[in-house]
Amino acid sequence: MDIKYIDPFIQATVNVLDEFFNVKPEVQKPYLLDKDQEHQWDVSAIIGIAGEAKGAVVISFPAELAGILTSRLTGKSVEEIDEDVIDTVGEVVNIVAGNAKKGLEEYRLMISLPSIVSGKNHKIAWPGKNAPVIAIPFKTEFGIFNLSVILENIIV
Amino acid sequence: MASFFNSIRRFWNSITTSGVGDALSMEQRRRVVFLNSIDLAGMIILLAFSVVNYRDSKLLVAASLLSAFCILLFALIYMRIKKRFILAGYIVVITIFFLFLFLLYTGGVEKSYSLWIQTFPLVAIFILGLTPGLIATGLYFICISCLVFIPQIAQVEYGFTFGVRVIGSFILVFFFALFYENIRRQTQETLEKLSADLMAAKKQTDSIMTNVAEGIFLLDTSLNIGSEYSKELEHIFGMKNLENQSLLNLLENKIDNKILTATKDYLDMFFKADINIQLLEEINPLDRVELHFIESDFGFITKHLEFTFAPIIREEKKINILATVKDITEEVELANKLKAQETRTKKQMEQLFQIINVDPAMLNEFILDAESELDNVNALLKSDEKDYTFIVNSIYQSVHAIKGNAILLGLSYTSKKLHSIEDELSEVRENRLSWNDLLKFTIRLSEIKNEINDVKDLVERVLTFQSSKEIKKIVQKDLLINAVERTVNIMSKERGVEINLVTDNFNSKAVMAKHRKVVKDILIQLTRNSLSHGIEVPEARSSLAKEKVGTIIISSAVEDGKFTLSFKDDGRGLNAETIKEKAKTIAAFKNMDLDSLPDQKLLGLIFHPRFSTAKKTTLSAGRGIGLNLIKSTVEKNGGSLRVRSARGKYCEFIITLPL
Repeated sequence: MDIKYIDPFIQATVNVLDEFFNVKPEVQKPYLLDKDQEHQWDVSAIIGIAGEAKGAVVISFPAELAGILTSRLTGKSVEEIDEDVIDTVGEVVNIVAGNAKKGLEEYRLMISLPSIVSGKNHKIAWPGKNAPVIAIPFKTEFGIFNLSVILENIIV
Repeated sequence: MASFFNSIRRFWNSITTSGVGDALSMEQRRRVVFLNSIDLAGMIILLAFSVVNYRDSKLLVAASLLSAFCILLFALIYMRIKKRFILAGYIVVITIFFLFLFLLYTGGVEKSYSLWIQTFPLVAIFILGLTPGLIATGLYFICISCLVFIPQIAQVEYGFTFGVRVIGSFILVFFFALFYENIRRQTQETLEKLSADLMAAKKQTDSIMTNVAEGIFLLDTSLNIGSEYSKELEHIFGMKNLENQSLLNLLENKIDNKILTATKDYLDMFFKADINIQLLEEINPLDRVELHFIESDFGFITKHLEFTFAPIIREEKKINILATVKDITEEVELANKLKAQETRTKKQMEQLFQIINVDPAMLNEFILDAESELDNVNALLKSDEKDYTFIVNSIYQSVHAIKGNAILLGLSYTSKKLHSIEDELSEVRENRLSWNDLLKFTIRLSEIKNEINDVKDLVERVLTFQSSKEIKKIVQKDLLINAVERTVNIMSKERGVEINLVTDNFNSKAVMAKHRKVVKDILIQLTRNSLSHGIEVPEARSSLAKEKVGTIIISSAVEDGKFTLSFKDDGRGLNAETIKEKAKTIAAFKNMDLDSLPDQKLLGLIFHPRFSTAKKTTLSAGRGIGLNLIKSTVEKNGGSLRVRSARGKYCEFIITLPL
């Protein structure tokens, strides 16, 4: 895995949250994520990556933060994870992916459409068997959300 | 008005195509339409004349015309219902045959009926075909000759001169009909043969286009796909109806935008004058290209394709590009797999040979140790700790510890990898650390985890080949002493020293389970230190009047609720002067007044993280973290560490850990 593929996603995440939601995330220390461990996220959006590196980028939110982002976007107050929240998270990830694409232009990478998983301790179908997942937490005033990356370099 | 004409036309079409079935050939269809048209036209004329004759009180003529009308009507209906073309044709021809003879017999106004009868050969030959038509016309010819030339037969007298004219014009019409039919038939046959040839050719082309394993298609000047393309193209793009689709649109979002732009520029070049075709072949951006088809769930299907393009030149103008595309995914993936497999197998074989020589129990311990090291560092990353230097140092210590164990077990592949990561870490340790450094080393940790997983897989595989009895025997041996023995064995060869290891007074059972790893790390690190810096080579020892073989004594004791471990070698001992000189060359000690430090303090410097007296960095020594690592682990466990030394005689480390 190479840091150059991850960096654009981090930049894009910070920019998008600041620009569209007026939330200023602070990046925390990265760590290795245990794929099988329980987690505290309620909704995750997954983007597939193919090309010179293969894998996925996942953004996971706790319900509260996802709700706040949704109400900032729609102007309605949000009680639970409903379609609006799913749409908002999908939209966030879409914009992040779009922004990140600019930073990835010099590499031969393709980005898929996002798919959304929600629910308490929802399972994410990580691609790749043994490859470890790097988790990058972002701290906001409304809680912590997570950007996770799993990438296998292709043998060229 | 227009709709009125339309419905008339539709009515006419419906009547004239009465009895046309799918089974009929083109030729037969035409004959049927002709028959119906003649039939219908005849009926209209007959009805009209019948009315006229009835008004003129020529009842016989009117009646015969009417009955002819009825027979034609019957023929039309019969044709429409039964579709029996030949029978209907005969009915019509025979009716006209007798009608015309009757008309000639009656003569009509100014013998004008002799004009009508001229049309018979046309009708007979067209409807019945050449041979039956000729026979009917022959019979007809005899009958009209009799009627015209033999007096008293017909109701009117035609006379010889008039008769010759009637018969002459009849023969003329007959020959025209004959020639015309002949020419028409020949043309028809040529046409049918041509169209059959064409159909056969088309069938072949179609079967080629359906079955060829390549996508073949034409591109026009706006780079759209032409109507004739091979079936495989639809298969490759997973889409139907590609006619008039833009190739660039099909490629969009499946290949890199840069390649897409290059493709457009490249294909546009084909339509420019003065192109070098060979050059075009060489710069084809789609020569070998990966297409990523986005699937529903965040996945991709990757296809490797090979495109070729060639201009098609007609009348000196480039009007099309002939393109072929081949799906080479299987070949490429197989080649990649083989390559990856080869690398992997090479690595695994290397590791396997190393692993097979090591006790499985020790390997297991190595894996558990490595995993717990990684877990510890990961826990630190997850914690609130904000001191990046401290975190990177901890990563460094963990990597160092895992590396030490890997070297000990002779896992050279893994230790090389760890060594290079250690190098990377020691490079940045002196700098101000950024978040990006942290991310980089987290990625490195993930790589180490991968590496450990690989070893784990191999060990599991090896274990399935070894009987459980053997494993039991191995486990019963003292693993702690075993680890030290291995270190000694490996390093004494490396450094050319000879060692006598004395462990009689070491009781490994007294080591508490929770301290086993700490004690093992300490023993290995001290052994390595001793062999790197302490014990002299045999020649040096001889000249110092020492035993050629160096001695290391490891002993343990339990007193006052404390576990005490002693590690003593009879090597150089610690030298305050050497330590001072070394410290002066290290940036970290610049601000210290080294000359005024008492010896005791100088000796303490060996526990400083930046201190190392080995001249060259090798895998086993000179990293300086070793003693520091021991001190910090001991203190973390609530213990203490002392060092006693006599210059040139011995060096002893005494470690106490609470029980």
